[in-house]
Amino acid sequence: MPSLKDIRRRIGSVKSTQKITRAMKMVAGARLNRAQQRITALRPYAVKTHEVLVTVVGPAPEEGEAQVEAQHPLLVRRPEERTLLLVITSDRGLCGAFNSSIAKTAERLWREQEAEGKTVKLATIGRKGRDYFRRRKAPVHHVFEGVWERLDIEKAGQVARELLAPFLRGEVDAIYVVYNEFKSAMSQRPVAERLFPLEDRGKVAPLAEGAQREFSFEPSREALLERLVPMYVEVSILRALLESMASELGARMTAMDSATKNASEMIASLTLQYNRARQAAITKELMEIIGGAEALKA
Amino acid sequence: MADQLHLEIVTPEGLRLSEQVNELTAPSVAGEFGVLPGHLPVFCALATGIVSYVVRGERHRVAVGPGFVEVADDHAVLLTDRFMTKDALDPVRVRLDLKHADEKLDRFDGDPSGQEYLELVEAEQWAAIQLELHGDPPPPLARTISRLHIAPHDLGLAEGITADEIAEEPKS
Repeated sequence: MPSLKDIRRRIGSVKSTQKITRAMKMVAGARLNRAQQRITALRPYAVKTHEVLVTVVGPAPEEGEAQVEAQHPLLVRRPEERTLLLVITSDRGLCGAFNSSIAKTAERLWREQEAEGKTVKLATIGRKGRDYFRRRKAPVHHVFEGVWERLDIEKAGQVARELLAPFLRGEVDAIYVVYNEFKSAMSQRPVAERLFPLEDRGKVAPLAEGAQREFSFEPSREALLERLVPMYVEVSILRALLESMASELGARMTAMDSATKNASEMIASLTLQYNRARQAAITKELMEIIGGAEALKA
Repeated sequence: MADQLHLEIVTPEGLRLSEQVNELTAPSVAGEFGVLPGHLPVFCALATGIVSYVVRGERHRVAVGPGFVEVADDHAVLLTDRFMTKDALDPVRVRLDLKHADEKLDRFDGDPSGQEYLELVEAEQWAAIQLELHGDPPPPLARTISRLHIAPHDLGLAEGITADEIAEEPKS
């Protein structure tokens, strides 16, 4: 049976923990709003980039175009034997199952691909993912540091270049990205997508018949592709990063909300225990007084 | 709507400009070019520079970074990483940026075709173009880059001359 003083101290400590979790929840909530706004703001850019890419790559694969595609180093397709997985996690913890679900999804994909006989390399963003895969002695090819400190299109561009380099050197045949997709503040879904090479022609939404027209390209189409393809990858990465950031904040908000609730419950039960102990102490004292009085009478 | 075209400027931070304009001038990698309503479909890579457009007889100017423009059916969609209007511009900060970029470039001893160098030159150009928009252009820059490898014949020039050499010519 803990003493009254012990219980009082515990209540105090739970209360101050609750203050922290409540503050973290508020901060995550405010930052989540901003992150969501950024996702919304990026959307038109992402959509337009995709449209533009479709225009330049060409609406339908014809004989001549197929050759352009085969020649261009960024559009070349090789049998998928060596893959690179980009795993996006957060730098900080206290956000529920956010990082562990990503790590698990990535690890599953890694094992699956290895079982298929592919050579898999990993690239990580975020401290949590780095630590997880380092502990497992995974083949981490590249670690991106400080991505979360200032997240913008330029950062995404750096990541994109770093990922595309081994592809261009012919060391990697496909690039996958594993990140948390933001559904709502309450729910996030880990997803694994193929980032590169681009989707098959058929899947790159074909334009409406009327929209197919002859553009004049300046400079040449190959030169445009050289810049446009990395730009598309850049935008895809930025989108994944923003989604992941929003998911992290959402996960943290939910986790901190339930932590605050748990703290409240704990305070309630500790208060009950405290009151009981206090009651018991009073009763005991009374008994002693009465006992003493009885003894005097006798 | 034959006498107007719709101009949209989209950046990763959102749609920054959406307006019906009578005329548009944009800085392509191969030089400035103008677009009037009824222009044939064209797809162009843009260099850092100033986009100007005319709305009801009034000329407006904005600065953009490298990007692309797609013109079709009297719609011009301009995609770029950077966008700045004259009103939003902070000349003091931009001058500081320019100074930092200049200093770093002067001390640069790495690979002049590497990514780091390209980024620095881009930052320098971006600062310079913003100052030009502000109405106080710095002296012409000796350095210039293009993210695109343009074959000389694309520019209608003789073989052997690169975009860099053209830009450097006025100085020498």
